[in-house]
Amino acid sequence: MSAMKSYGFEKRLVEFEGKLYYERFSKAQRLQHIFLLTSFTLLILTGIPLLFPDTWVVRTMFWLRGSFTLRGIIHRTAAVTLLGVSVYHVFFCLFSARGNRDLREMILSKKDLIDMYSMILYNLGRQEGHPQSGRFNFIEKFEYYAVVWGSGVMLATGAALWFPVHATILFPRWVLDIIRVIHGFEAILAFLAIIIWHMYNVHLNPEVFPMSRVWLNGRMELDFLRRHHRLEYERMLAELPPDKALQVRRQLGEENPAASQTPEMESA
Amino acid sequence: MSLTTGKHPATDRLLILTAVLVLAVASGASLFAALPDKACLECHVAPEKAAATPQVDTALIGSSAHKALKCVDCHMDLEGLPHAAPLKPVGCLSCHGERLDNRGQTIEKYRDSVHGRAKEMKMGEDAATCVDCHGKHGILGHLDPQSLVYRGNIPRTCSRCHENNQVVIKHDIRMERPYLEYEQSVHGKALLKDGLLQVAAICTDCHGVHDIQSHTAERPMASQPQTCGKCHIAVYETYHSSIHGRLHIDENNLDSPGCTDCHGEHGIQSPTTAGAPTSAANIPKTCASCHADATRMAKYDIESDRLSTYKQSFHGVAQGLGSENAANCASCHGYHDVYAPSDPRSMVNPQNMLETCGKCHPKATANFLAGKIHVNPEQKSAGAIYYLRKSLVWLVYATVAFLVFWVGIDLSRRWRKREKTK
Repeated sequence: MSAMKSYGFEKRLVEFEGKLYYERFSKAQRLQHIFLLTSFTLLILTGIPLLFPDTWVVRTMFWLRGSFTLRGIIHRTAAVTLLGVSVYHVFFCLFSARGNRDLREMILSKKDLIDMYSMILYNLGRQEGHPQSGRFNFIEKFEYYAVVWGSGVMLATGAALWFPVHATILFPRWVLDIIRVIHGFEAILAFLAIIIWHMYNVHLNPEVFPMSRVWLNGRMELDFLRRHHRLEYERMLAELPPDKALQVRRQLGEENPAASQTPEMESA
Repeated sequence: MSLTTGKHPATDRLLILTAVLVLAVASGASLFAALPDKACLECHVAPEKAAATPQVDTALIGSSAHKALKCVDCHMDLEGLPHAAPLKPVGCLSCHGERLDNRGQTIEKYRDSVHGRAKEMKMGEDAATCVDCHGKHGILGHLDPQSLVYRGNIPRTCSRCHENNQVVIKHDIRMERPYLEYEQSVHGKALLKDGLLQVAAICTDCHGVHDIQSHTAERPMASQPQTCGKCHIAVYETYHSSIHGRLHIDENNLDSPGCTDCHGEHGIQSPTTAGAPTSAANIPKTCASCHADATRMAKYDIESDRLSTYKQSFHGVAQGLGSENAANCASCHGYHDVYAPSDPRSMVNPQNMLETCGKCHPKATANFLAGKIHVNPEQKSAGAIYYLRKSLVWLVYATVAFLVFWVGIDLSRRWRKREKTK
């Protein structure tokens, strides 16, 4: 914990145009996200059509002579980019203070499953109040692992399909048929997860529609942090030097300590 | 020497009488045969009579192959001058009938050709006769570049009737625009653009000359591989040894493709031309026209899912979306040299597979050959892959269901809260 304290919340509290914000993502993280989303989008665009080669849309996509070759070049360039950002991310998690600390916050616990269950009950109207999360809620954790697992599977299976001759040094060729099925279906699952799970939960839900800007500037409104990451908020107040903590509470109109006790969850 | 002996006066008189009679008849005929052209030309080169009498261009005759002939040599039914009724069409076969054409067939075979029979059946002026292809007074030898039957002119000569929709539709001729197709074909371009007069195939090379037959005839010349083989000798030999050639030529089995079944007919194109049935883009469709036909394939114990399984493979997907270097049927099975996989000459014989795959995947090892090639994950025959795919499909359904459920209940909660705060 001493190592974590050396990278405390003071650095996460940033001031912009006279207002305090919680720095959700550092510049390094935002760049990783941009590389990830660019390569992911290109991979999906140049990959998913191959699963539906006989449809009108896909045939139209490839009407231009040589477009299939170009598709391959884009797909593999994007794959190398994804590999690059993945490798960078591993080093980032292992060796940067922020990466290391965020990774620890990502560790799954029993609470995440309970949170999910209780969130469903809450959404169904069977329960008052929703679960309170730390830096990363269960939605974000699941998604992170989905990305890690998905990237790993796609990079490994993709490499085998890219270099079939080398791959068959390790295993017989019929395994490549299996790998191709997996590569295709994992692509569909990743696509669905991103287009529905990620886009809805992060960007398209009525609260932030049409888009959360956190991925661009890294700043999260303190009020948003308090409502959605209550535990992180409280921990920040506890760890911040008292003057900073007071500044935060003042900005949120929390001078009356009693106010901080009422969980105020929803905005219209 | 005298024919009369003087010993038998009665016999002599009879002989003399006979001789006189024979001479009289013969000289009468020959007198007529010797009728000078001048007599004909009195009317037929007489502009003032042009309204009632067909006029003849003597210069045309003078430069023709028949310049040494007299009018009556061809217009043999002339019985006296002046003649009222138009003369009959001339009969060329009386001189040319037993001659051989440049395919080595007697010209007389015209009578049994599709044109000759059409004429017999009184199809009127539409049935091609000698003059329709060779011309009339201006007839020229086939080596004369001006001749209608000069190699370079034959396609256009044939097209005079065969591109004429009235003729083609009236007589239900199979090909409606043979010349237009031919013009764009590899043969047509070789002749008309590149001027390869002796090597570019023209109509008569494939269809025959005077003995030309209808497509309804049994094995007309133009559909026989032997015909193509006259020029494409090495290809013919390879094809003949292939499984297709052996069945088609030796066993006369028309289930097995001949040249035209894959290459087309008048519009035949090089495989490197886009749109050719033998182009990389069209090969699967061309092969599938037989190999996806379940009834035909069942006769030979060949699976008819070769195309559907190919289309499922990465080769097939890439090929279908326009990749030019993705393997197609011919890349692995060959084209003129297709053999059964059990044949040691076959490119897909286990012994040759490494070399075949190695064309695109150099350094492939024996491991690279392990497993079936034509696999369709959507069919049970794919084994484990089928079940893997099935379960992944259900996983996708389940994921979609969960995600929709998740978004649905989230939205419904937000909706309820919104109602409350109102």
